[in-house]
Amino acid sequence: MVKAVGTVCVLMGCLLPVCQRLRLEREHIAQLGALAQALDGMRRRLTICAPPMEELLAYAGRTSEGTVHRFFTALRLEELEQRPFAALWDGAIRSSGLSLSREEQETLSQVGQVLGACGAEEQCDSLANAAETLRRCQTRRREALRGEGRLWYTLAASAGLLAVLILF
Amino acid sequence: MATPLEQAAAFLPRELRLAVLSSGQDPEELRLRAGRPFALCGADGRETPVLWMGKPLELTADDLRLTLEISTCASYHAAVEKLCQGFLPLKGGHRLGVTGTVDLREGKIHGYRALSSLCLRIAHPVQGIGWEAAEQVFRPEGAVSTLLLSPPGLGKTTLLRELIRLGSDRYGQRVGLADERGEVAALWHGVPQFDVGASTDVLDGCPKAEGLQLLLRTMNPQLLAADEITAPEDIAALSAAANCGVSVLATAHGGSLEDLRRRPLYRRLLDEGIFRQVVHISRQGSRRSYRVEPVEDG
Repeated sequence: MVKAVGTVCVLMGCLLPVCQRLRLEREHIAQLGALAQALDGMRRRLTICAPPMEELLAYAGRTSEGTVHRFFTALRLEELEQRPFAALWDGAIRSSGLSLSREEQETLSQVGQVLGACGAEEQCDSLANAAETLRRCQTRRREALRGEGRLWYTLAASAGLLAVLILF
Repeated sequence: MATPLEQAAAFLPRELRLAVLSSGQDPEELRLRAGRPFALCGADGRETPVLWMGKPLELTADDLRLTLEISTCASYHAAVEKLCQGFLPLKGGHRLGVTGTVDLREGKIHGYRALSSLCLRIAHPVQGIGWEAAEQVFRPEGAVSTLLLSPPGLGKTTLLRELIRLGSDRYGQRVGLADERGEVAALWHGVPQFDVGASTDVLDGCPKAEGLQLLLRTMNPQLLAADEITAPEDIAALSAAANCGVSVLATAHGGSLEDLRRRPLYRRLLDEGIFRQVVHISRQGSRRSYRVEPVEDG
């Protein structure tokens, strides 16, 4: 009985970090999708009525959730007198808790260089490019997760079983 | 309440704002040029550099970009149309003029690729002028169609704005203002930044000719006002308004009635008999004076 409980505990101990790691990765993938969707929404809004930035950010904030919502609401245009918009945008990327890879962060950061500083056409192009890149990253990560997920589960289970054999 | 300079300085980056507010001057314009010192321009038109920590503030292209970003609230795309027309109206009636490398597409200015100069013109609302002129314009039998005439820079727009305000608030006229360039009322988010009276309806950004007709059709004005009559279509629209029994108030560049009669466009304006009188503006020192002259038919 004790051995059975011990076996379950050892196996759980090996599988839990893998589960957690994969859960974080799934959240990251979902976040990339939400971010791409928000950027697409901004682009559509710009195309339809080219609203001022304050309205555009408020719209993006209203139509998003979680860390993406936090990102858009972290941008404070009142701080423009101290820092340019691109710096505020980068600051919001860091402070909102978005978990992004270097490539994804750079993609989003580039949008901040164009937003508010160029004509609506250029901003739409930049938003569309960024959304597309983020979607590509999302697809790549999803495919990687499918393959790697199985591998990690197998490795964790094998390690657990090995530990059980050694211990008992 | 913030002074006009404090309001205008709020559109500057922090360091420039502090420098201009500590200068102790009351300029009419703030001049920002890339690679040049930040300067103030007084009523006499002379520029003096702004000192910060005892030194002139050398500006960079980034300073200009940040100023434009603050002024447009990071919404260049929403402001570019106004900028391409000459200047961006700001809250408080201030105006930001821009020069630089333009983005020309199919012969039209589409925007700016790079900035080289900014001119932040500080609005100083002037009230209490033109009372005598107002008495001649707004008579017991109604408003008399009047043309305000002077060479550039003598305050035609200021007098027009003041006559509109007095007409609306003091003489109970319902005024329709076709403010094509946004210089008279300076609408900002729909609210006039200059006091043009409680009974004044403003149409901003619309060509005068269309604007006057639109106001006539939609707002039932008793007095129609427009700044700077420069095109035959404007005259046609004013003529149509006058034929509908509406009084008109407008401005034109010119030294005298004879001067106007020599120019074909204005000769037509006078021949149509739209205006019953002309207000001449002249300046002695800092004081402006107004002289009313009736327009004789033909």
